[in-house]
Amino acid sequence: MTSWVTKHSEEGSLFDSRKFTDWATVKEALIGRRVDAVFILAPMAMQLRADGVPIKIVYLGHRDGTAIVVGKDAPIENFGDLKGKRIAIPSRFANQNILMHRMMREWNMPFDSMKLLEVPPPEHPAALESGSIDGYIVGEPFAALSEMKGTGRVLYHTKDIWPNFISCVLVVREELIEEDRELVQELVDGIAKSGKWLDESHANRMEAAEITAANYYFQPRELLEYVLSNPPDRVKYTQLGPLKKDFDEIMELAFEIGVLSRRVEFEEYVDTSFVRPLEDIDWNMEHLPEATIQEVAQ
Amino acid sequence: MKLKVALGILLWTLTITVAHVHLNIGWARSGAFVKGLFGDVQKELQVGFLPVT
Repeated sequence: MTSWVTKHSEEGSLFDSRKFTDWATVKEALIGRRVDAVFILAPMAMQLRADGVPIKIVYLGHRDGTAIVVGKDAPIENFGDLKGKRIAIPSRFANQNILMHRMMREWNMPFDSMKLLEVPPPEHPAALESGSIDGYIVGEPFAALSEMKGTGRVLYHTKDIWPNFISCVLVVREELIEEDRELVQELVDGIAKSGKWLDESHANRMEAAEITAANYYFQPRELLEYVLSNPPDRVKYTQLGPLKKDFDEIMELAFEIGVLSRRVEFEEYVDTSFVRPLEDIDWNMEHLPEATIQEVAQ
Repeated sequence: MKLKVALGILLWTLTITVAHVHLNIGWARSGAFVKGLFGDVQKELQVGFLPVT
């Protein structure tokens, strides 16, 4: 999570990633304090806070990296053509759900213009292929998967319809912030450094695809390479500090469509004190030689 | 002669150790291990994620 190869921060703390398969389990683990830090859907984090769960968003996971996908040969050319269609979303608490409503408003379509179905992200491509849905909106790599299989095509990348789209955010329990600010700072710095490194060059992205395919995502390397390069700005890993204007827009729309039970103020659920200018942070690359890759592979 | 052999063994051991740490273990993990020997508890944090971007 921090150094993507060693799992350690430069200070020597160990950051171990724990993979979840559905959002509900992530939420329960956070509430039950079985994990103190988790990447979670932005509106879900807001609702958790609205429910009184003591959490704070401290950083973003990435920017963009979501797409609306339709059948390869479907007669759908623009958002208006989705009227009356069945579209899968990852969760009602996903910002992808908020985006669909934002688009409906932009296209002067009533919010019930299409049927939005909650489907776990890994099942989106198969559901499209089987014809049980007409399209889906999801975070990568599940948009690219249909493209690569030749069963779907991207109607819109979020970078083109809601630039700098926010999907997952890094949430930590407030107790952790109070008990060990340094550890949270190490985690945020590590993510920032990794993102900076990723966005520096194509070669770095290809190297990251190779490592993460084998050790974290358990997805084909070619798929991750595709996601990280077609086009290069399909998903971005910089500009990850949470901004009030972005979150206020998400929060207002989420409240309006009934995803949030109440309005929550930015300061109530976001702590920006861990965000540092990217110029001030960098890897000490000397201790990230090829050998440390072996360490992860063990 | 004995001194030369002893120094040679020492140098060889040192070289192998450094190479092992560098190639197989990693300096960050080693540093944390050494700190642990002196009573400094290594911090650990589990971070949850879903395999979507």
